[in-house]
Amino acid sequence: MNFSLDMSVETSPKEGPLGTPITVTVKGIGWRPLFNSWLLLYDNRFTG
Amino acid sequence: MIAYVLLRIAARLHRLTMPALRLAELVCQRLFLRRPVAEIDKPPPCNPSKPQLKHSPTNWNFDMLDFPRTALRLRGDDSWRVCATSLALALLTCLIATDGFTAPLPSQLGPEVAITRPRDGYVGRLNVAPENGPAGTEVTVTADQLPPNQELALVWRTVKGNWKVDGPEYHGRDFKPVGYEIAKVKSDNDGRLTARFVVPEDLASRTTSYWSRATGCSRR
Repeated sequence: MNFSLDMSVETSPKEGPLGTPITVTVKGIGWRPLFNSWLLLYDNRFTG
Repeated sequence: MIAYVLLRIAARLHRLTMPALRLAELVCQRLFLRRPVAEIDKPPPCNPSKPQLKHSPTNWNFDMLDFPRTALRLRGDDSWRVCATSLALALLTCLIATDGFTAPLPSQLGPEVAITRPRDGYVGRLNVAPENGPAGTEVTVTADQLPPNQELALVWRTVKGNWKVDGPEYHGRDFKPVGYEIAKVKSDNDGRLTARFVVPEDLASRTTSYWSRATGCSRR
């Protein structure tokens, strides 16, 4: 019997002035190919 | 070259005066959008009858935390409310400090056990509710059609990942299956059992599962 662990993404802090460092925490990333690589876009631009 | 000629033809047909490089960039960005070429450099249309977004749709949404304002409006004679609020804040601080809100790691569920296959095939029926969710979800496991009064181990199955490095050579990653015993449970006289546990932080996409060993009840 399988249980599917959903991926969850959190950003911290939720608000702040310009220049605030933002921490993005992702849980539940898969280990198989195509499930273990994700892109982070900010303002529709690639950041990492 | 053909794409460049097609872009030039489209620009001429729709009387676009922007530079060719700008047009090519816009076409790339709106390749899968149903937008007329003549309006390719215009902002998206908006319908005033629909609520407008308060943030850029291409940006993250930074919402203010919506604390109820009345919760902080305490009078001097509401001493019991002040005490209750202080107690709640202290409890919240303790929970945050001790990571009370975070889901456990798989290794914190219980001892590591070997992944085995049932000797005589699978028996019984195992259900889980809900069938998916993020880490921290409380899951209820129910099983029936098991041998009565049988002790079973509920096991969380996952994989351990390691780098495959041979000296200076990198050969990718290696994942080996591993199981962690969540709890020992015992079926009742009717061959049923119920157990609950919190989903740990683990790898996703249906790679994790749990099953019970001994008599090997699993898989409907």
